[in-house]
Amino acid sequence: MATPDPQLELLRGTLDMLILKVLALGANHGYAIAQRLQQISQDFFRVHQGSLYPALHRLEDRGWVQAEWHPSETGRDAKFYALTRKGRKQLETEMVNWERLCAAVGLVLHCSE
Amino acid sequence: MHWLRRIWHKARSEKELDAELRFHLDRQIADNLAVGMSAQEARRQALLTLGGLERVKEEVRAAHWETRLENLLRDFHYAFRSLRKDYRFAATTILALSLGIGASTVIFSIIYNGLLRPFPYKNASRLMTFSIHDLQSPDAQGSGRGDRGGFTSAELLTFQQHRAAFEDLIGFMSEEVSFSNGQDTLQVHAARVTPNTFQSLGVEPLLGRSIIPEDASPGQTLVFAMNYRLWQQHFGGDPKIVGSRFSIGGANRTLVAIMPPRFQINPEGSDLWIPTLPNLADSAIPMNAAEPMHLWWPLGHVREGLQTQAVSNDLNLIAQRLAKSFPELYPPRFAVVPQPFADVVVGNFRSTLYALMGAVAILLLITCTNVVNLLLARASTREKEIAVRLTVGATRARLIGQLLFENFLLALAGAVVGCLFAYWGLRGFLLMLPAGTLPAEAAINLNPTVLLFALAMTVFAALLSGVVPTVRSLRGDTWSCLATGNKGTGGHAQGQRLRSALVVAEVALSIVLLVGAGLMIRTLFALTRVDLGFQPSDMLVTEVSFPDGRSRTAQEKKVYFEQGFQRLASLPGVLEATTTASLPPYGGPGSDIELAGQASPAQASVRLDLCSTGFLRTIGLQLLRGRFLSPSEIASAQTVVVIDETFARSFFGESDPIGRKIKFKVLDLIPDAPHNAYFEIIGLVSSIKNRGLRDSPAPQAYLPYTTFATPRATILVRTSTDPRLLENSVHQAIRSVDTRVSLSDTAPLTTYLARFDYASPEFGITAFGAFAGIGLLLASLGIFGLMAYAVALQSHEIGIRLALGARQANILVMTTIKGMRLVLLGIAMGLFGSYFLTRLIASQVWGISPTDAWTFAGVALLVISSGLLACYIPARRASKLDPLVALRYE
Repeated sequence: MATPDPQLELLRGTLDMLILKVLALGANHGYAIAQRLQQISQDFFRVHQGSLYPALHRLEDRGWVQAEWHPSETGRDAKFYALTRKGRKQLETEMVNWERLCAAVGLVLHCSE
Repeated sequence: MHWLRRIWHKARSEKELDAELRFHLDRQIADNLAVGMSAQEARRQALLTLGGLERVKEEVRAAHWETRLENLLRDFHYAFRSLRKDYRFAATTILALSLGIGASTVIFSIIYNGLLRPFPYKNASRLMTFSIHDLQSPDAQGSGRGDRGGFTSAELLTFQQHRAAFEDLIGFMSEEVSFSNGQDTLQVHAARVTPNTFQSLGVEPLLGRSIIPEDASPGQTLVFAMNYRLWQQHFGGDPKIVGSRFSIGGANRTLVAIMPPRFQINPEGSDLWIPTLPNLADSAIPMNAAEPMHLWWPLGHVREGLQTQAVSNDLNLIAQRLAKSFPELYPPRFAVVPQPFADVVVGNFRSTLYALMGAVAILLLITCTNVVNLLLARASTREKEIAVRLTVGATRARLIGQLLFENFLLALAGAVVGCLFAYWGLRGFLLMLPAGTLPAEAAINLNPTVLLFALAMTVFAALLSGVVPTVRSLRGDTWSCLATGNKGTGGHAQGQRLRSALVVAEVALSIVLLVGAGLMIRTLFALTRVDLGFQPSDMLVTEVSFPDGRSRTAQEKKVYFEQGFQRLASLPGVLEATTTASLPPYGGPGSDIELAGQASPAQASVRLDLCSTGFLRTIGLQLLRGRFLSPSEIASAQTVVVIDETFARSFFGESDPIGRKIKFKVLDLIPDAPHNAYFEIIGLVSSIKNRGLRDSPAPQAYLPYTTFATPRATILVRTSTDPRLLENSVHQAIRSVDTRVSLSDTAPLTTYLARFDYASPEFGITAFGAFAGIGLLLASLGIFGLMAYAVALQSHEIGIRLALGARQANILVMTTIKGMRLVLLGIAMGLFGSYFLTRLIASQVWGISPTDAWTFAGVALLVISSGLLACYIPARRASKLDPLVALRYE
């Protein structure tokens, strides 16, 4: 795997939102979350593990996700993260905010003179 | 509350984090292998993407800390906001807490610094003194009878030699000496101390060198040490005077040490300390009846771990031997009583302080009850808020954390304000403290240990009282609470009962405090209305001390006073003047008597005063029979005596005492007094108080003041106007007779009475009164809070009643009665408790019974009226409710 492009380091808040979104699709462990992010974004996001795990633990501390140990698809126990009710609410808020931000940025950028 | 669990299971969570990251690493390696990397390359690449296991772990840990900090800040913000919203609640709680902390810190600081740790001396807690207690007649005054705390040189040396219970033993003796630097002469208080004193007490001098036992060896230069205050006042704190020579009582001595301010030893205070070897040859008690001085007062360190009983046994053994060698000095049956040094000074005041400690403990209880009550009230109004937060996903642990944080903030604020109260309160207390009630060495300040203890106690109380309502509100059924739309849950009735019980307890406890304060007020009232037997107003008093503490001869004394009386008589406004041995209402030293031609009664102790002719008119005594001492009888020191009614009644019954003869045994001990002389009774006068305000008069005899010489005397002046106007002229007139005689302040007798006889009860009243007032305020607040809350809860019901036609007055009475039932229950319990508890302060109560009905009734009335007020305000609000608004409410 190639070294992640430093330019594509995500802002913390954005990474949190993306993780919540991936978990909204179903509970998963850290490695799979990174894989899913990379896959869905068509290899655009290569999440640095040094950002991923602090982010997951932070989300857990805030009560947005909760973790449990389950056997993974390989049979070995892994720590699975699942979205909580509070986390789902948070994701909704952040998505709305993000879309409003994008729309606003778009309006500014595409404005014809 | 993940972070809390994380603290408790730190090791486990570390292990979990490691397992989680290893899982990630292994999956990455597996995937790398799957795309065809070599085993080594796959591992290297995987580690690279992960960025090093330890680094990732570090970052995860940092993320946790960040959240913790954020949570803390958020809790703080939340707590602060919710307290600000409820500022009245917050202010009341903080006030209650700070009053409790402040009052208890003040009292415990005084007890700690004044009673438990007053001395700056080495191992001061083991310092003890001892005295001889006459088991038969402790009050007797005569050859070898009565209690005595001083010992002759021979006795002290014997105790020093055979002391098994004491590590060391020092002796001190106070003395008035003239102190001169060649130009000026001062009269100062000196203490002769045994030469081992400074080493035994282990206090280094501020300047100069310590005095060592060798300084008193024969042939050595004579030395002495000086008190800090004298050094500051008369020598401006000049360090160069150390090493100078002074004349002390006629002998030249070199000043070698200035002692620090807290060094004292002698409870009467001393300006100089003179190391002196007790002289073995000196075995008699050269006791001057008026001044039981020139005796050594013993003081020493008791051996570690020794019980008082063992010390007592050891001392009694030595004393029994001494009693054989000096039978004339010892009563037939006696015991040597060891006593902690602090007790000598503190004495009776100890019981006042302990009573105050009890009062402050009760006040602290009221405070805590009040705070619990307030928190309960607040918790019950917040049940809905808590229920809402629970349903939106807040964890219970986190809610408890937040609520506790709020209580913690309250406690902290209470602690800070409490410290301020304690600081100012202590200053106030020290100003009020009667003179001479605590050792001069004691440095009373806010004691950090005490402060911390009070803080810990109240913070603990606040947190504990916070947990109960918090847990209770969390246990409540969330759904029913939300569904009913009530402000609280079904736990109401139970909560109200608990709060009612707390209010009853508060009222009962404040009754106890109020009864204590009431009894003290009645005591002072009784004391100020005591009939002294004479009129104390319009009298001026001065105490004179003759130079070098050596009594002048009776003849010299006569010249001095005659000149004095002449000068006083020429002052306008002075009606009459006299001299006495001591200040009224004290009637001079005691003496045993023998009656001529009559078997001596077993208990024949009388008071002996030394007067001039003016005494009768100055005091305003009634002459009942015969005549008073005439000027010629005084001038020639005739052996005649005037007795009072009590005397006549005690020893002569109904028969006429005039012409009978009495021998005063104490005179035999006084060198220049007539020995074995019988005094003829020439007059009978009315009785006045002669044992202080509290005790009934003892038999009193008045002798010519020229009978023998004394080191001190009192001058009393009867004035025709306000005595304060004459203070200066009288003082100057007496001073002009002989400037070497030192005078105390010239002041009205009533001022002296206030300072020595009323100060202690006044102090008790102010302190007890303040605590009782705070207690009553808190209890009233408790009643008010409970009633206001009850009215808020019942506004619906009240609205219905009003709508159905109940009159406002009915509602008012109904609500008030409800509150007053609690108040009355509290009063009943409080009075019942006081009935037993007031016995503990019986020693402070005088002139009335400790269960004085008037006090109890007055206190009950006071609490009923403040309870009525506290109930009336919420009840009035209830009666003014608009039924429509009340029904629509909620």
